[in-house]
Amino acid sequence: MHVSSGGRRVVVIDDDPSIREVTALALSAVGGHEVHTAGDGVEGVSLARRVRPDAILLDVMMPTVDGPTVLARIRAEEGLHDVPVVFLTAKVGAQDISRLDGLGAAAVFTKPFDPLSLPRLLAEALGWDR
Amino acid sequence: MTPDDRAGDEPAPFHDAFADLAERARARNVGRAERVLELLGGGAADADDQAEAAQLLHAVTGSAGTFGQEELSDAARHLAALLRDGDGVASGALDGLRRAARGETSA
Repeated sequence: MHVSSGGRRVVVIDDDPSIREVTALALSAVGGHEVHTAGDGVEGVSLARRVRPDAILLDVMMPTVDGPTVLARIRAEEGLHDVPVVFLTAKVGAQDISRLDGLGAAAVFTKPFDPLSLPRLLAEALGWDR
Repeated sequence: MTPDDRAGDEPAPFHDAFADLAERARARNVGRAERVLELLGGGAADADDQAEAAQLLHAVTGSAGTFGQEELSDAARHLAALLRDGDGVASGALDGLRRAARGETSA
């Protein structure tokens, strides 16, 4: 089930180690992407600054610095401001999704999710399959 | 449907690695649920206890369903909604989380 749009560089920022691991596994083993992970927002922005990713998957609810704050920092960074960011959230209320959509993310993915489908969903959301 | 249900459809390296990390994730989620039961089960949870429980339930909601623990994910989401809405934590909701964490079917 490899997608044809592999070979991108993706940063995953999530405080849950299980979600970080399975996301990295799916995007690398199934999607063929190069994946870098961070466990909090501060580390995540620093990592993104170093690796200059093609996309960032960003958890919304994290201790210390939450996802929307991280997104704002990314948008303010020279060299990162136009990197597409996809929120990953367990908040599934319509109001939550609408609020996140309004923050300038490229897409909002909800948890739980099917890891095997994640590379395809990401490719579709970011136009990598075109 | 989880990757466990689809063994053979995906690249072998994915399934082998997924099985290993799913086992650890499920154990982590059960531990989180047990901690929530400790925090809320005594009937005297203060604001800090409720905040910790809410954070754990949020994590379980997202993680458990991803690793095939759908009942645990649903029970955590239900309890989190009760906490968020200030409706009080019904004993039935705690029982639901306990049963799901221990793998007892709701049927």
